[in-house]
Amino acid sequence: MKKGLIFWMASAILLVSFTMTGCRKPKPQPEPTQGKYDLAVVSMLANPDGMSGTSWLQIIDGLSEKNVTNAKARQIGFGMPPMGVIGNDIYTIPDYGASNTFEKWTRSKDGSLTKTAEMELPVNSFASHGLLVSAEKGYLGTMTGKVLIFNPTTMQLTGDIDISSYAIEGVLVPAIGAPFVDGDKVYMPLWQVDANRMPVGDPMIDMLVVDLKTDTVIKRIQETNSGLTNAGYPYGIQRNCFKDEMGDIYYIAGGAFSINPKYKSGILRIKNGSTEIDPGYNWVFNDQTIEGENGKASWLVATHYLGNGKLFGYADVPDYWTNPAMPDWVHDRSIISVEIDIWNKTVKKLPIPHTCAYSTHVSSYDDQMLFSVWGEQGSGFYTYDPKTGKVSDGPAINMPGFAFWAYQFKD
Amino acid sequence: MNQRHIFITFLLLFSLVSVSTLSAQTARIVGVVIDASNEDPLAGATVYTPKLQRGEVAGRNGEFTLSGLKAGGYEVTVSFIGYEKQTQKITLREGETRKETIRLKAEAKSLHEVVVSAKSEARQLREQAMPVTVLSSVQLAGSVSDVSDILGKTMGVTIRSQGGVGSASRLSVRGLEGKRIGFFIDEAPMNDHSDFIDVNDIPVELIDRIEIYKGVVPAKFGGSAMGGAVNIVIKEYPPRYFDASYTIESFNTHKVSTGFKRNLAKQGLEFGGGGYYTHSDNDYVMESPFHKNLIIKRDHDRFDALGWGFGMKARKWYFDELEIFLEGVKNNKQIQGIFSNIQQAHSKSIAGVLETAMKKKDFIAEGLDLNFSTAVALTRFNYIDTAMHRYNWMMEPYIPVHPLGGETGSAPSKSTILKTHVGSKLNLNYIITEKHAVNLNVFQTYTHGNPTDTLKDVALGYKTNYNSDMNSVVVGMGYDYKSLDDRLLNSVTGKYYFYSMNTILREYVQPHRENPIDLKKHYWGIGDALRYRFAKEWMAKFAVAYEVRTPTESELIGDGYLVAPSGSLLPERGTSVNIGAIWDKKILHGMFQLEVNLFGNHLYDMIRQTRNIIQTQYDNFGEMRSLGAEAEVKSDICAWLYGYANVTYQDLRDMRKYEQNSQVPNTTYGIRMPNIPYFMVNAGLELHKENLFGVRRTNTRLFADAAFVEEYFYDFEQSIYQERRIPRSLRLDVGVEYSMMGGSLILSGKLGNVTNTKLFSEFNYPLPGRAFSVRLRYVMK
Repeated sequence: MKKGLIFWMASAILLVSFTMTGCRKPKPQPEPTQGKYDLAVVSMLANPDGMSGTSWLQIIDGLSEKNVTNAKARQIGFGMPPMGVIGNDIYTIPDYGASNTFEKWTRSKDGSLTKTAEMELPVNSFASHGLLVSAEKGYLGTMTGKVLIFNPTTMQLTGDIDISSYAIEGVLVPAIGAPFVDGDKVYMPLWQVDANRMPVGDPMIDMLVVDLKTDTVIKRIQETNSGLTNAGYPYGIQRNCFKDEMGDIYYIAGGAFSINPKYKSGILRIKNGSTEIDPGYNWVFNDQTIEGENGKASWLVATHYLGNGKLFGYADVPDYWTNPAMPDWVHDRSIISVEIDIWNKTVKKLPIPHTCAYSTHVSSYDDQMLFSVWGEQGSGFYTYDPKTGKVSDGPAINMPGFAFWAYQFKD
Repeated sequence: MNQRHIFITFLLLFSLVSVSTLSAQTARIVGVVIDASNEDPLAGATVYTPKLQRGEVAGRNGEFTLSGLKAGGYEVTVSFIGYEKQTQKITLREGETRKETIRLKAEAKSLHEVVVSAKSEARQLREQAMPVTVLSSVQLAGSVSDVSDILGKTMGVTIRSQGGVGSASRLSVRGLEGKRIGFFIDEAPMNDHSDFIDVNDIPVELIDRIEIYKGVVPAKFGGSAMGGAVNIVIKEYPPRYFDASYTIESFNTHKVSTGFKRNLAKQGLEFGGGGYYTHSDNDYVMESPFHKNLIIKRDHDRFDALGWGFGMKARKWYFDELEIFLEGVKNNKQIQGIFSNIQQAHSKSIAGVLETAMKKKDFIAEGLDLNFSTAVALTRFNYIDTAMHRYNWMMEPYIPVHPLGGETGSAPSKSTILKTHVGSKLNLNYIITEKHAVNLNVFQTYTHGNPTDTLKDVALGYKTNYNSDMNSVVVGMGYDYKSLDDRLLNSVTGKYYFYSMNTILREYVQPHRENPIDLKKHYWGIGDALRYRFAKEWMAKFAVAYEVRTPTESELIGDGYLVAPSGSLLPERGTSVNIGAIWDKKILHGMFQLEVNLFGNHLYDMIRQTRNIIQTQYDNFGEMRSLGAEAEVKSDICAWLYGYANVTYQDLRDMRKYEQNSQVPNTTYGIRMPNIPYFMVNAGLELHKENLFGVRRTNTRLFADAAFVEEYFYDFEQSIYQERRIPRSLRLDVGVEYSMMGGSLILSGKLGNVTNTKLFSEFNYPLPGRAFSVRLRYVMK
């Protein structure tokens, strides 16, 4: 009798355990709904270990979704935003340090996303950004001294540009900033940095001018007087480089992310018709007065050019650091939103709450501007009306985790 | 030293000689040792035959066998702590098998024997009020598994191992792990020495028992384990002992271990020693979790470890026991890359320890028991990463991480970390009356660290390694109340922690200032554990504690480079509750045990890592709640079959309400903590038969074990399309053990992961597939 009891109990335990695991919720299908579904957003969450995390991409119905959840979002690589969009295709970066798979996601009108292609990049590329030139050509920057060239339609690697010989003394291989296409040329900023993307050597702007058709280097341009360093910080869809109505090209210089004041942050210009950095422009932000703000910026983080000389963006002000000696991106909401007049060289603080470095996306949606904020009262995208100067009361769209990226599809 | 060598050789020869003249010695005594009053078997009783100078230890059911005897008269002396020694005179004929039942009478009670109950130490521990699982040597015996396999099958415990032999492994008790779980060898903390010795380095045959404390940790473990503790107790061999074993396993793994003991009874001196050597290539094949369809054979995972120790115990020099031990450990470990292909980076370490321990009952006053130990350890750890090329998985070279080389991190390294540790432990237990006892535990550690890495300093352009001095003192005071009929036992303990750290820290940002660090911190904790015995077989336990985990050195100080300092870090605080019931019944064929526990834990100021753009940093911004249940049933189903099954369900959830410094609700509030398995089932059967197929003096055992872990996520669950999961797994192991010559020679074999199922640890590190293991062991009897 005892023998039977034991067997029964043991099997009961196992039976219960298997039944419990059997009862799992089936995956629900996404319901088709009405709506524009023209705004792609990414939210980013860190894991308890602090080293890994998740990024979630989904399409929402414009500004009508007040509270976004990740329940139906798709997982993309953590750490870097999507590198670009062509038509309805979003290209996402591999999980930083944990994957080499570059992915393409296609948007459907009902707001659903499908992964349509994958491309394996060489191991340890740490590809983090690039430029989609056309449906047949794109560039990806890596940490291995090569700029990868690929075909976005077929998702195949087609070649590379070897930039390792352009390393300055003390640098193993340079990385690139955001590339910018101007007619038949591509400007590729060189970042003379170490494995942590920190600048090495003297502050300077270093850039290659590359022939778009042949991918050969035409010339190298440098600017060593202003102290500006690291042009084209690869952050967000706007990529921190643009052309204004005069045909002049502007590049944002990121400096050393506020860590080292020797490397200055600001804006540089390449005038229309020239292929040299305009020595008369070199606007250094570290000493720039900001209207409505007592402190000075040490890092111009991200920007979006609206037009008419008006540039919107984020600047890190060390006065708001808890420890004046160094930034703490977790505790310090030290980044303010600014409106920059690139023609008159003025900067004005906007009435938008301060945010942290992981939440610095700015772009436009119809006639509004979206500013991502990780604030004390709310976290998500605030709207700003550039005509009236009106800011939404709290986030217009509340996002889980960090509001990392947004993109409007203009159908 | 030479004398001992000769002595051991002589011993070996003597035993072999005894074995070889088997034919003329076929008589034997088969017996059982039991308690005279209640017939309880006395597992662990010593059965000694002076004529042969041989000792036996009574097994789980009190059984023993003295075999290979010539005809004639023998005196057999049986002893067990708390009982009066008994000597029997037995005369044997040629080839006779004599069955004897030895009934021992409990010793006349004196003041401290009341508290020391006449049971094996393992059983005593189980009956404490603390929630503790004890794996006795009987359960460990014969198993070809290593320690982590055994621990992994215990309810509430998982081993998070990153690979094969010698790889980093962390103990996880009820979901809490890493630095929250203390790992001890003979009550000496080993968490800080994980570079030198790991749970798996200890050969199973040297272990007497493994104590697993869950949720509430006894004060005597000092330190700051808060989720639980695992204490591995090394065997106290019978007065005369010799043991040697050799194991060969898959992936070119070889393990050798040996232990010996020699007693000089008149002088009250014992000498003992032992050692082990392990080598493994760990060259198993794995599927890359990062590159689709990439199959990799691990080719840079070699592990070598050598450990030795020997010492002396004196029983007649003022103290009841005075021990002096000298130990050393040396190991070499290659680093196997999983995401990228690492071909050169490796580490090596060496450590030497001198320990003394003393025990005395009735120290200074009657009823005051002293237990004091102190140890000095010198350790050296090297990390070497100087390759001038990295390689991809096709062995094509590409640039290293820095102009000066390196495969890992962002700069090359050739580091030497020298550390001196001095630690002492004092335990005083005072028995006031039969019902009341108080105890005091003081635990002290001092560590002086001297790290250097000139290569890295040149690569970074500034020095980041500085000397450090760390002091920690933990004081625990406890009060035990025990009712006269031993039904109720209650232990309440208060703990006080002091921690200080003195070093220099280099700021990461320009201009890289050197900041002196002089931290002093102190905290307190309290706990209560209660045990009530309803009937002889039924016992209920209740324990509650408020514990504190002081931050580790690396959390407070960082590494001067990638990990920023967090000098203001508070300790973690946790409240834990455990309710359990144990049913321990003697049945026809042996024993039946059922244990059920319910537990809960709420952790505040949880120290979590957060990533800045450049560095990582530790912060107190976590809050976590765990609730769970575990149950285990073990039974001798019939005379030749033993079975067990256990199930653990642990539900750990993020309880942080808001994002840091804000009123923004935490997105992951109430979501299960990622990367922690939550549902595990283990079950197994063991068949055993003596003299199978009529071959005499043999014992055959067949094992089969199954371990099931439910699928879990390795990120916070967010979406119905969540992809990163560690898949559900069912692992089967089978083994056989064949002992011959009355247990002197044991041959065992095991096939692990029989079905070659894909197994992963957290972060999707692939674990070995099917692997075999064969062991030959000789035990002097």
